[in-house]
Amino acid sequence: MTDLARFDLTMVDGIPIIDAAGELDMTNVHELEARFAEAADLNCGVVVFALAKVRYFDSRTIHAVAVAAARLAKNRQHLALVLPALPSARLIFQMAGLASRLAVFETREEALAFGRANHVTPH
Amino acid sequence: MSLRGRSGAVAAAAATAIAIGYVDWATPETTQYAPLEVVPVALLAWLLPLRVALAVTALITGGVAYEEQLSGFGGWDILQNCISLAVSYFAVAILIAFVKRRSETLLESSEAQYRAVGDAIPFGVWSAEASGTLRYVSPSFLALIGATSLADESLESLRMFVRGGRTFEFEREITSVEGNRYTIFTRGTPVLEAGGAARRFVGINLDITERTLVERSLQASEERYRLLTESMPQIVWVLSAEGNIQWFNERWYTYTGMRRGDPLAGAFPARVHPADRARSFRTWISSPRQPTDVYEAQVRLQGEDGTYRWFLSRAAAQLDARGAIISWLGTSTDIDVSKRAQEQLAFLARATDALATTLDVEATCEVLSRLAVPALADWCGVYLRDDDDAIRAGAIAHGDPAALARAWAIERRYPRALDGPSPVAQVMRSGEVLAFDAPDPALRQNVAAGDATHERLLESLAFTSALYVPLHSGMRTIGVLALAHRDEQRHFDPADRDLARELARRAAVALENARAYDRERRVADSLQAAFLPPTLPRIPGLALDAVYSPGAAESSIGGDWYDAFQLADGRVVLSIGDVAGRGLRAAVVMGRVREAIRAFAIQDLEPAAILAAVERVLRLSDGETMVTAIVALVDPRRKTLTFSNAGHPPPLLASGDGEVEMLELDGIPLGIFDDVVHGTRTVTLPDDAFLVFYTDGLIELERDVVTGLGALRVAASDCFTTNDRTAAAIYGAVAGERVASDDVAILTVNTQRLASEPLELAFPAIPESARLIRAALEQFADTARLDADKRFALEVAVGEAVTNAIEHAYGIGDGHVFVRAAESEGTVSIEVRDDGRWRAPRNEGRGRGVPIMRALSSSFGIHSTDAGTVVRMSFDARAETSMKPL
Repeated sequence: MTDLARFDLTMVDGIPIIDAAGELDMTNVHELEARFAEAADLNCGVVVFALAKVRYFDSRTIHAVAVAAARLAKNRQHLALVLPALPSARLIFQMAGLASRLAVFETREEALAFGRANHVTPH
Repeated sequence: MSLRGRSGAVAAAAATAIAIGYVDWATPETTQYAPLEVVPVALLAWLLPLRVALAVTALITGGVAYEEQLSGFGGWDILQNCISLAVSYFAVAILIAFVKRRSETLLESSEAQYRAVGDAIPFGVWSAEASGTLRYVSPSFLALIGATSLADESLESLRMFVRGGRTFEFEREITSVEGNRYTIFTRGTPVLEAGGAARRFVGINLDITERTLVERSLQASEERYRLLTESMPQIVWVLSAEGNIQWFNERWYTYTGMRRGDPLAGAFPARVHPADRARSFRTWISSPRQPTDVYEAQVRLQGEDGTYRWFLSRAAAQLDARGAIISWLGTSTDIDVSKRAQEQLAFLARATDALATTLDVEATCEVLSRLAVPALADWCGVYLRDDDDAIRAGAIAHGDPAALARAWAIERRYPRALDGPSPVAQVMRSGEVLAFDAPDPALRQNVAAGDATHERLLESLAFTSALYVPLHSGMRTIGVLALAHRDEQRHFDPADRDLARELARRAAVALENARAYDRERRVADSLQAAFLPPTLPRIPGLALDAVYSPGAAESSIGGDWYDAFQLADGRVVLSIGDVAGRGLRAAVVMGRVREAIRAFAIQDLEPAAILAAVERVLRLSDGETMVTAIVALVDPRRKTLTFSNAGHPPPLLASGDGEVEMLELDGIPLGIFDDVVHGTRTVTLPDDAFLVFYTDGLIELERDVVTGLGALRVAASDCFTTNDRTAAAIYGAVAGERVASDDVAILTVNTQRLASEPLELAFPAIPESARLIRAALEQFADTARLDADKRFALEVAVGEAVTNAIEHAYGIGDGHVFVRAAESEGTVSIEVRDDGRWRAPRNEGRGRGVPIMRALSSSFGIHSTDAGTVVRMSFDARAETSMKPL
């Protein structure tokens, strides 16, 4: 964790959820990548990545999300996104093609509901 | 002469003689007529016929003339004439005897009355014969001495004086029968006969025993008084009612050298020191006063040798029964020693006070030199031994400006060496007092070392005597107090030397304190300067300003601080506070607290939590320190101020039409109680507002804190309404020409919306610069009135360009990324530039930066050359964000 951004990985109803806050850039993207790896290793079927409290993210974040989504998909897991309400933020995910390939939600609760529906018990 | 003639004459003479003898017999002694006086009286009374005259002539001439002139006369005629003469004479004699008898009767009556008077009066009267025989003495006198008659010795004394025949008086001691001793005053006056001879004496005896005793007592008293006044160490003087001197005792003559018999007029005033004449008796007596007022004054009187000594003069009036002044009796007591000792003590007290007014080495030297001149000497130099053993003049004082300039010229041109021959160097080496009672040409030549100009300059100072006193600090001589006279009449006597030594001792302490303080102050100044931010963050839309004013009191540096820095999320952390106490320790604590606030603030702690954490830090390091502080977070985007207060004066918020709100929030200073929960207050800042944070030194300029706060409120309002919204303006408005005795720190925040100014940024091309550039852009976006989405788009697009510059332009090595932003009519223009060479992204999976920039901006362009890459974008604040396909 840096003073610029926070990445909190928690389990809610057996679903790992990464709550990010602050500014996500090249100085902390490796932390995000580490959290994705941790969450993927849980094999819960769904990982929720909540960016609702993120003030800033850049193409490194997009790249990290895309890589994490690809790795989860290989393990038949899903990545659910909770995006900020800003149109520009959604535009960036849309441009990257992630908005159409990933489950994108406006709220954390919606994402968790999706997670519960696709939850698998770790083995 | 014939026989007949002779017989007639004889007969006449015989008859006359018989008559005379009768008269003489018949006349009492007490009458006033002598026997021979009867004859002319008889002749005049009886009208002798011519023949009787002739017969008398014949008796005288032996009858010759008678016979010749009265030849016709016979013997009968002669007999007849003789008988006639004798009868006539007898008749006269009888008449005279009658008169005499009558007189005696009267006299006896008078004497009887005299005796009666004598018997009646309470003092002694007496009468005596001219022979000295006592005839009468009054019984009251005899009763006094318890005797019935006078003693022989008394009678003998009386007899002796009476026989002198003239008025006399004498005093004599007698012893009464009972053995009491009396002093008797006797006076005798002769009762003269017609011929002037004393016939009798009358007189008095007075008992003057008591008076004599009083007189003797007075004489003894006067003698004692005389002896006392003559033997007194004081000058004793007597003046007339008008104040003219009439008498001095011997001390005056001894002191002044005057001789008895010299004119006294004006003697006293002429001896009074000119400066003291306003206090002299002559001045005092001419001023309005009561007769019973006592004069008392301290004046200097000139002695025989021309020098002045201090005297305490006192005088009181001698009054008559009606209260009028008869004369003045005064004394002048020599108080020179005590007075000078008192003056020296006062001088040393003043010196101590003066030396305590500063903790600056140079100022201490200056104070010392000015104390010494002219009180101790005509010239004074204070020389210091520096840490490198060099001697330098700290201060020089001289009554003559021209000589002072010459003295400084010598100091600058001919620096003293510690191993040199100068007296200052000698004393610096030896640590002993050195004195010269006369100029020493050999020493001067030695000091000048053959430099004629130097020697001439030294000589021009014209010192007649000099005294060099070491300034000791412990065992070390840290300096020399050099004193000199230019007046041949002035020398450094033992008292002067003692005084100079004492002054030097006190000055050495002050100098050592000043040196210690100077060392501490330099360290503290450095610390404080290091702890105060060299610059304040430049945040668009949030103008910060600060002032730090060291207190006028030189006791030590204070523990005030202010700080402002921006967090990565764009919020601004403000802190201001005051560490109790002064000096190096306060500065160290201040630095510790300030850094702790910084450390906790960047962990996103809220102000109250920051204060609580600082409290724990203080307790870990030093539980005795008290600190007041405010920690505040200003969110430029949300225009909010969130703060907690640990016992610090409340900040002021001016807004609207100049209304000033005191942002009060209770709080307890740090370092007092454990586990204090600090409150938090959040205030929404108006678009146009002026925040003032300050330390207590600012409001303590006034007579009390309440008044000081009132003055500050007025100042905040004025600065706000006049748009002079700086910390310096606040300080000027409150302090005016005054300088606060305590340190003052002021931190102001002006939230006035400023006209958007072009943003010029240059940062090292390192990853950490990205967020700083974003923070600056965020503030710029605020002034450009971009909404949240446009602000996000701007930051992301510019962030992509900056990241590209950082990642691709330089590789390993120094380089910079430059960002320029400007706003015009709702359109923000951005230029991101680097001086490196463009390199393609290393990862195929990335490369999303350019599309993102293009998608988020209204216009986008990129131009890359060997000299660098320039990315230009624009953002329309009014345009809606559209979802574009990639």
